[in-house]
Amino acid sequence: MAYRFNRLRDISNRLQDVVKMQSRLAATATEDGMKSNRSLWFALGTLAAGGLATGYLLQPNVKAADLELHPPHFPWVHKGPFSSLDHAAIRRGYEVYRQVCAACHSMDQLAYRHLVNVAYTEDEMKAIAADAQIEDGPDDDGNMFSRPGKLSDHFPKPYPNEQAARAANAGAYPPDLSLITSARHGGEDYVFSILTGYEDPPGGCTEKEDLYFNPYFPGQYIAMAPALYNDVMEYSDGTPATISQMAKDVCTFLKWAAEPEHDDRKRMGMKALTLLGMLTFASYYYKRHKWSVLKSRKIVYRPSPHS
Amino acid sequence: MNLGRTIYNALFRRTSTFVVTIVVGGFIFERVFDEGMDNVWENMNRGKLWNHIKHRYAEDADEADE
Amino acid sequence: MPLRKENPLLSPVNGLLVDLPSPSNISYLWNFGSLLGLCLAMQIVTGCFLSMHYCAEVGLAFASVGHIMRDVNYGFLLRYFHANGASLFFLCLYFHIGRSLYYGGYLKGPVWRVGIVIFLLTMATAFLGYVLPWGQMSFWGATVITNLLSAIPYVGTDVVQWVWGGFSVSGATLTRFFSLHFLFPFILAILVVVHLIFLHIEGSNSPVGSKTPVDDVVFHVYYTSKDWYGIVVTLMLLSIVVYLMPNLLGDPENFIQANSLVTPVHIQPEWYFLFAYAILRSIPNKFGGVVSMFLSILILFFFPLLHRSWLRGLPFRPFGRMAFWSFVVNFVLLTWIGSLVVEEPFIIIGQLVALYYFFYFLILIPLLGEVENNLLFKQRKKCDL
Repeated sequence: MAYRFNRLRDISNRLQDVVKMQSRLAATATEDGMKSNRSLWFALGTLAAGGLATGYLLQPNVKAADLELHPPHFPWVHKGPFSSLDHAAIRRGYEVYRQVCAACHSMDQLAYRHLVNVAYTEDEMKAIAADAQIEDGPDDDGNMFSRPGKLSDHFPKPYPNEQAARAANAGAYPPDLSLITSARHGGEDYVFSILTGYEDPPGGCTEKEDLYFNPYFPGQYIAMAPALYNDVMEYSDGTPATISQMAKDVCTFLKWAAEPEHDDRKRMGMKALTLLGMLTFASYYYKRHKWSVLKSRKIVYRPSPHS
Repeated sequence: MNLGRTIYNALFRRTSTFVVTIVVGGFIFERVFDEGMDNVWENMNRGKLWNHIKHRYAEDADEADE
Repeated sequence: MPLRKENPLLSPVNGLLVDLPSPSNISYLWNFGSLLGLCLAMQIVTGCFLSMHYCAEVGLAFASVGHIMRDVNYGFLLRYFHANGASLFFLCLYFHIGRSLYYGGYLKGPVWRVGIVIFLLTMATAFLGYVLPWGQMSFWGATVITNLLSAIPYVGTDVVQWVWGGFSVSGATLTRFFSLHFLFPFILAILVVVHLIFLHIEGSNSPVGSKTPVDDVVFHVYYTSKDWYGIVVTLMLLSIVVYLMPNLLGDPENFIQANSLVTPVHIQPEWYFLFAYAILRSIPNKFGGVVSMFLSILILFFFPLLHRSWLRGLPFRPFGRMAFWSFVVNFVLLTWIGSLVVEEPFIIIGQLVALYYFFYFLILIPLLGEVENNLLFKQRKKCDL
């Protein structure tokens, strides 16, 4: 055993010599081996950092290759790690969706019941659902029939199928909005920018038939006509219906629609992280406590005088 | 130190009282922690949650479905 | 004799978690083994519950995932933990393999080889699982990757159609991918047991690479407490992602239902496959690219043969250490390149880093081993360490 330790120490000494020799070669100016070793690492680190910086500088070039404008980051009230959605905005946003967007855009995955106790009371939602005519059936005679909507019904679709939607929209298909803020780079920032970003084509860009210029849209020409104008609708709570107000509200609604678990998730996250934080300290203390004997022992090597 | 000794003698020394302490303590901790964190959450997001705005829309049944 | 040693059911557990002799000096890098066990267990449990609500049918798969997210109690937690758990799985795998490369763990042949099989099977499982939500990236990822098999000479087209169960990625593909995605984790669990059995024949490696059990300690309390601490910290990191930014690592494209008529602009796999994807795209020839991609993993099998040094690990080998870190940087670069569009200057950078990937394994490892043998032991013919 002692022989092996001896050997190990031997080898490690020799290796240290190698390291020192090598670092002397690397930095001839200084005599101190450790110091020059450090400068070698410093040089390598600088090189790596430089490489990363170059990479970072190259990266934006890729994005600049696309022509569209990237949406700015808006200060959404739900942006913080533990910030909930603004439920009053969800309520107003649903009004915008129902009065403006729903004419062309479906929301397949959403049902009336989803909004109960999120932005509407059960009674209110029942009344809203009953306003819609839902096709049901077949009845006992085998016929389909229409009936007033119920809480369990999904939002009605504006078009029976994709072909009908395209036929009514000059060949363009209005996408389903159930997941739209998750399904686009930039999320609600992007949707907000699209809704408010319409403008006349700048110099060099031509008008195109049935298409509208929007710098935030990939390709810049979007088939959706500007949907929001000041006072295009009226809020039931009397909020002035400006373009940016409606866009903000409908984006909050769409964010909720794509992530209905948003508030619960963050609330649970707050609890989970607090608990795990406490547990981290406790388990680190426990680990240190159990290891203290091993960590504080001292191993002494005494070569045998007989070997 | 004296307090720790008293607690140890009263609760942790016997297995039976130890188990009861842990179970009851766990239950109490869960309730306090959960309610406490929910309160923190409501305070951080005051005015934004459904709980804070529903009185505007529900005339009578405030406590109906919490 | 205590019960834990004599009871036939408890004694293997005892050998695994209680009395197992373990080196006293292994660092936190040795935590990733137990973390991988945690990952596998977590994926199996969440996956089991997800499968109760998921529907493997092209018309319903996407909607059933929506149903899980919206209507199933805590379904969003199941799905987010499962999806981000896959990322954690690969993060731990890469640290685990990297640690093995650094400290020479691969010299324990059977453990290493079983480990590579586990790695390959985990990659297959992750790929199959990514197809199940039936989003755009699921569908097109499956199309691109399965199409690679068509590069095989003579039988390629037949093999691809056999895998698809038809003439494109379709309903038959989805159902078989679901079956296999359900099955593979259990094979993985068995392989993990084999991995551990082989490991415990020789015992854990250690940072100094010594084989002597002179300073072993019992597993229980030393490594149970240390592994537990690692698990809590990891769960904390995972929770930050799952609860606060669950879609950070996902692709927005996958929130759009699969549509065989619309090709996404950028088709790219999840981050953990990007290095292999970069190697695949760097080779101009399709078959060559496919072979290189598979070789980039399979080359790990030959690692014990490429090891020429008389020392086990890199802590005492300055040149080997530098080469290792250059390899790590190279791996990160490959991942970065894999996420970029195919255009200059990224094509040439990609080809260089892909070349360096193989250069490290095939040239640098044996060469530096020999060089350092000569530098360190030149007076001696052979060292029996």
